[in-house]
Amino acid sequence: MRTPRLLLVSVVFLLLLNEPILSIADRPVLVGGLPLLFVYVLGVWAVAIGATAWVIRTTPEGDSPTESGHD
Amino acid sequence: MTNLTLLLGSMLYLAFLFGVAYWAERRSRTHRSVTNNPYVYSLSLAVYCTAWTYYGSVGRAASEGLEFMAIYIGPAITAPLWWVVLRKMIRICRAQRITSIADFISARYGKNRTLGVLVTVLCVGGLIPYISIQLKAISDSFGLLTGQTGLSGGGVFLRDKAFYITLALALFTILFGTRKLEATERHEGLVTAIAVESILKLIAFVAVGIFVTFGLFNGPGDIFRQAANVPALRQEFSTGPGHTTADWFWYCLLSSTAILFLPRQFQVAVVENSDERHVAKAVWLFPLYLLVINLFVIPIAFGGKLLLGQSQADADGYVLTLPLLHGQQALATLAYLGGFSAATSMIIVETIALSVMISNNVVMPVLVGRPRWYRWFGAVSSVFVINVRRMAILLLLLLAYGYYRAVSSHYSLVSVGTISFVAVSQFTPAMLGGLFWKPGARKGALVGMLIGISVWAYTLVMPTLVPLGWVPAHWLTVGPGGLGWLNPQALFGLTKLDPVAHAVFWSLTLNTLGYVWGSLGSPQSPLDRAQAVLFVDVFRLAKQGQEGPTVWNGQAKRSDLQGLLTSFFGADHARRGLDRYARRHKLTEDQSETDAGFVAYTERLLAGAIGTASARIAVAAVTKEDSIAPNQVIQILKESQALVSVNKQLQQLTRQLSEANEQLKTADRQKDDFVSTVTHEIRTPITAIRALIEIMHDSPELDRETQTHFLGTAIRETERLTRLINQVLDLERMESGRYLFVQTQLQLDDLITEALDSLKPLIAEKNLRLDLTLNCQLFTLLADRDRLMQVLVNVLANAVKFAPDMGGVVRVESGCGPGTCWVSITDNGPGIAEKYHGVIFEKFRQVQEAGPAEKTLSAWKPTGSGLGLAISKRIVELHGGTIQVLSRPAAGATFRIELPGNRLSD
Repeated sequence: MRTPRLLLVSVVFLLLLNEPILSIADRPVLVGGLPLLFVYVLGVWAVAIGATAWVIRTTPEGDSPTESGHD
Repeated sequence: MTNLTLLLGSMLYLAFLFGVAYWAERRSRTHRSVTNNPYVYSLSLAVYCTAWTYYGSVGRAASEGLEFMAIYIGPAITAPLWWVVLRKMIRICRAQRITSIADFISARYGKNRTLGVLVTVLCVGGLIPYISIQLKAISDSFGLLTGQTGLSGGGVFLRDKAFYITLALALFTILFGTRKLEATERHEGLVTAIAVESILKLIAFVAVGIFVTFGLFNGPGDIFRQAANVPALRQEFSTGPGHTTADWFWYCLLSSTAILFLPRQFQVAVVENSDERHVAKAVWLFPLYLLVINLFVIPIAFGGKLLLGQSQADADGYVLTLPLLHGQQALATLAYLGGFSAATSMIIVETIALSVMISNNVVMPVLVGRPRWYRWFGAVSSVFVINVRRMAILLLLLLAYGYYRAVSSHYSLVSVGTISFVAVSQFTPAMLGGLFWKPGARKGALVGMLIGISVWAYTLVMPTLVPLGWVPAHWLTVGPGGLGWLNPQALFGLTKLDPVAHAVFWSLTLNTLGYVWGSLGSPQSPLDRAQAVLFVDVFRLAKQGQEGPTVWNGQAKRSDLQGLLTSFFGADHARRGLDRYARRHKLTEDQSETDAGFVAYTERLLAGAIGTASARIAVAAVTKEDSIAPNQVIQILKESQALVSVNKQLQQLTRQLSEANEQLKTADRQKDDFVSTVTHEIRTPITAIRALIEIMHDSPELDRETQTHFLGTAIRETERLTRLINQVLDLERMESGRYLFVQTQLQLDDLITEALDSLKPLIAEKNLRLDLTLNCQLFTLLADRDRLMQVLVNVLANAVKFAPDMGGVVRVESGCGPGTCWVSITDNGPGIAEKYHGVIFEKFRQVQEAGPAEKTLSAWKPTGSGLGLAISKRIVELHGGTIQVLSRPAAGATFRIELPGNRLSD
């Protein structure tokens, strides 16, 4: 289960942090004194880290054969 | 601060790192490894953040706004995929003893020498400038802190501090990078030192960021408010006019490939990895590190612009100049050390990785390919390999220094760095194809990479030669020879992208096409094919506990192979390696001829020291190899596949057999139980009968009435005995399928009424209330009347028996649905615990059960034999129906019987 979920996280944030969605935040507006674009990129980035950590924490290592029979 | 103090401080810092590394090595020797933990692993990945990040990002942000961040967003977005890609690379490298990215590509495509050399050359060519900008950063920051400007300009190199720092770095790198021969043995000291450097540069940069944001300004809001009044900064709030967000995507792609394929990243992430599971933590910890180190880049850049004016040249040094100009000497020194650590960690790891490539993929294949040379080096070849690496490190650093003196002062940190990134991104098709696409072939990798490198050189490297006057400037405006479509920065008239994104697009696209075309157009060689299987299927092979197919055919002497290992590892180490193999495969000492598996093992051991291609050549030199025809390889691969499937079938058979065995054992146990119970049940009436007859035999004076009473009892006991034996016989006949039913059409409700009639006396005796709801008139059953009656009487008698004496109720309901007739019989007795619901239908099971439920259960002894329900169940099942019990303790029991029925009109 871990691999497809991580793949999903990656794709979702690839979309959020690229054209054309990125261009929505790409305007000279200040949000709480900070430029919207900076707030958006850093914020989404932080959410991406959280989402990845959450997936890692909540999925078992199932798809990895932990033992390796040879060197 | 004076020259000497700072120089001394830098040396002291290096000595400190050396101490850290030494400490970690000592701990690892006593098995208290520092590096075997996901945090150190994630921190060591932060070697990605070089002086380019530390100084260059600020410079870039000052002129281009957010654009610099794509270099960090790329890895952050793709980090979750490392769980698949990076883990697979780690697994393959461990199995194949691969120690560098050149070795990886060469090993994947049939242990090809040419590919190894090509990758090494591209890495060295692409990364020398990158290393040199680190030297430039050290030198420039040194100059800023000591107040000397223009340090990098002229002067004899012997009086240049950068030269001495270069030598010191070479010494440190050599000391810790090239002590052991086998590169697969990890450099724990080095990794620990890198992790410490990662912490230091993060702390230093964040400290400067906080100082600028909250010391020189009133928080980030203040900086942006002031910046909004400066038009040049205000337009950087968004990507705005003059920039295109299309570049952003290509930068993301570029950085996400560079983070995997840069030699230093490959070194720390793959070669130095001590446990695959560390990747799980790194996929979010490392992006977090990147986020934190990038938080203050823009505040520092804009703050610097606001305070220090518009001069672009200074922007790279804001991290130092801002604290310096405000009298924060200590903070400036910390910032200097942070930058120093960012640069040194990159230099050290990158040069070690490159030196391994040079020794294993360029020098050793030439050496081991010539038996005369090889014999000349003889017993000291391991020392030779290490010395080659040491020389390579020194040479690389001197080359980088030379480049720095000659060229790199013309460019900013970032522009040189991105050129190196594009160079290593050319490995992407060959690497990803090699990991996931078996048809990917040597020719494809070669063609793709050659095209990619050519495009890279033409579109990115050549324009940098224009300021030096080596290339005419008009090439960048009207194109070479006036051919506009050949313009290196606007190939085929593509002007929408900036030069780097433009180069990434063309080089990667053409590279990928070349790779696919070359792979599909050429048949794979036997070795190529075998390696493809080993790489792409690495997880599957490991799951099956296999080492994968060994494609080798010929004769080899054990002594020859041992000699080969001895010459590289020394007698002791070689002996240990061979013993390990012999133990695992249970070989005897005196076997002189060896099999393909042993040859492959030797080759893998050797590959860890001198590279895959060199090991192939060395082994081929000491063994008599027969060439392998392609159809032989297919045979070997097929056998290995067939073996796998045979193995699977065997496993399945074994499982089935052991299941059958279990069932047999259970059946056997049940049979034993059955026999012992039956005999027990038979003994009870026989004992009674015998006792009665003995009394009558011994006492002739018994009166007639007593005799009659005794005989009556004896007859009843005999009847009980007969009934029991009949039941046992019935049951056995039914179970063996020999029982013949006499089937007639009948109605369920009639049968129920009849059964109740026969129980009337019992019901009356216990004074029970009988709730009767019969609703099954429309359907008929095809069944054996007497047998079905037996079932109903049995179940009804149970209900009557267990209903309490006071206020007992027995409810009988029947009904019909499509295709079924059912009857349910409910009492309000003690009930049955759920775990016994299956058990009560088994023969005599109540006798074996013990515990608190025993009483309830042992009461379930219908008509005294313990066989009633078992027989009922058999009868119902033989009629194609089901019997179920629904009950909870102290809540009565419901028995529900369902039988297949037909509509009356049919």
